[in-house]
Amino acid sequence: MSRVAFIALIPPQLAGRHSTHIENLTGSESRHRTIMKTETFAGNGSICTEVVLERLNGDRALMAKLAGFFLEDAPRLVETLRADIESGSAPRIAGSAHSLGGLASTFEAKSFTRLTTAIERNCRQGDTSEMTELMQQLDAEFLWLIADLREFVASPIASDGEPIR
Amino acid sequence: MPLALVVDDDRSVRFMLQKSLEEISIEVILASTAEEGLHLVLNRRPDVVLLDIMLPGRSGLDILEEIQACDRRLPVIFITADGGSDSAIEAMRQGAYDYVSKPLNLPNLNRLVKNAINSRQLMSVPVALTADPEADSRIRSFVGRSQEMLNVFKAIGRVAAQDVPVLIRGESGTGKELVAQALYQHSHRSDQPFVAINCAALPDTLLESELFGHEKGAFTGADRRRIGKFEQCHGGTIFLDEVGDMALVVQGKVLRLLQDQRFERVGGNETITTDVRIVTATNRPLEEMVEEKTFRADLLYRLNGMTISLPPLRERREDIPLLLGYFLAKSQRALNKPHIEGMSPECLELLTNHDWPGNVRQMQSIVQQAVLNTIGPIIIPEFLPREVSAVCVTVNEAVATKATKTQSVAPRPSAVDPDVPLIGDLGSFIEKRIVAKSTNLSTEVLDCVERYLFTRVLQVTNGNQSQAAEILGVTRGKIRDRIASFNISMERKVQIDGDAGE
Repeated sequence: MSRVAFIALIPPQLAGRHSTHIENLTGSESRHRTIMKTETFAGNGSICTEVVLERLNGDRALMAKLAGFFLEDAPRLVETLRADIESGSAPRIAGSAHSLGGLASTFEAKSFTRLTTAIERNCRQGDTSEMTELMQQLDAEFLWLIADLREFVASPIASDGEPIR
Repeated sequence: MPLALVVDDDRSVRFMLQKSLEEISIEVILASTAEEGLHLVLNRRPDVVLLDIMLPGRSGLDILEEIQACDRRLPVIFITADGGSDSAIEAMRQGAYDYVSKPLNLPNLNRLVKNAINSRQLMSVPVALTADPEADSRIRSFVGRSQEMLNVFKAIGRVAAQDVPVLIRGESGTGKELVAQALYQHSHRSDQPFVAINCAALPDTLLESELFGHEKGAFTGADRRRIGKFEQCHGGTIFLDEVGDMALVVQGKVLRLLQDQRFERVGGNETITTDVRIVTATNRPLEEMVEEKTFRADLLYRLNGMTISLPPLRERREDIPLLLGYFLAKSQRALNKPHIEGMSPECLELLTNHDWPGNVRQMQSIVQQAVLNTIGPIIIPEFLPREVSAVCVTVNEAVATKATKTQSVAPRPSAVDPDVPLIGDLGSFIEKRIVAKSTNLSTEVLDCVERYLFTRVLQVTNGNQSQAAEILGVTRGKIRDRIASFNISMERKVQIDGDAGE
């Protein structure tokens, strides 16, 4: 998904909240310069790079690799979750939400994992009443998350060579 | 190289664990399903298993049961999405080694896996009560034919099968942990867990939590419930090393556990019942500590179901040549120096007459260093570390003649010279070890640096261990442990200073 396409897909209710982020997306060159100077990555705020790197022993190449896995695997898992919600099977929904949450937790994607946890917890208690609403919120957060991970993978932070020790 | 099995359906978890563990020299095999994992447990015999608690279609607890049916001693670390989940707690109760929750913290996980592998080795490697220096180098052996050591062997034999608490006493480096292992391996609990905890290595609050577990919110940072070692070790044996360094509050809880096998987690109200055998060890004067009210008398009586006292090496000198032969053979094999034929008579005499304040552990280190330094087929005094070759005669003589003059002088650690390798020597040391094809270079270098650091700080504090602990940010117990491990002399330097002053 290109950045332009991503902006078009931002749900209207999130556009205000993330307006500065949208601005950032269009000014990628200046942001990259900042990144090279400070060696941090802000993105849209759906991930916390510093904390992730601390847990990964400072290994940026590893984080980029894991982000690549997420970008490849997560869309399929989101679709599985959506299908499970449509089928109404609480155990299956809980299982899919669990897998998705586990995958996203690597990147400190708090907003996203809060939603997968809520979906899983409700389903474990047999409550599927709010699934459609939660799924909508999850879809929106998912877009921010994959956008940030794509940004990270493409950024100089992720591609500056050897793992940091 | 130790072998770890990672069973997780998430390829990113498998990838990051493989990368992280391989960087600390642990071979990793991977499985994405329970069936694959169980197949590898049976066929590859890993030293540790990292297992996703929720694999597709299978509960991790069922898999744990099957793994335990194959190998009860194999440590299993669960990977959970939520550390406070009931299944994780249940897993610990059923005998999992530990659990980690996502997102994974790789440095912490590496440490945990290393500890698990160490536990596995402690449980698996037989302790041979042999006096044979030709014994298999993979076996950690008691070596000795002296009457003192024969008494120790007999005592182990008498008490191993009984469920009484055993207190092992002896100076640092005499082999207390080996005795604990032998007691465990010869007991009816040998197919159950063996957990070793060094009470001096953890701050008091952490030790309490480590032993008894804690409830969520029990203290700052307790963001989830944690199962303690006493609960985890149900049915097995727990070895509390350096028990004299245990805080009074922890002593009280251990006493209650010894009396009725019950306890509460830190911050919890639920009373938990467990069945563990407690083996303890110390080199501290517990009776004096009782008088000073720093150790509970009732706990001492409870721990002391039977005492096994390990003699210092200087009190069983007839074992020294045997031990030297044993460690020489072991170092030759480990360092791949088959051309070394033996020691010169002068060298043997020097080592036989040495006082060995660090006991067997010190001897092992000295022999290893000598083997490393030796050029040619014979180890001569020149190849011995300076702490033996240079100081042995001159300083021991000085000790004998000047002792009365120096008694009032506060002990200071010897440091920069002549005993402690300078940091500046580190480069050449590393080069030597690389040429020697070391397979343990990280540990060797870290030991070297740590030895320098502890000695230097003790010098700065004039031997004051409390101050040194504060500067280094470690416990006093750790300082004592390192003084013994690294053979940092608190007396010799005083004698030298005395000489210099005259």
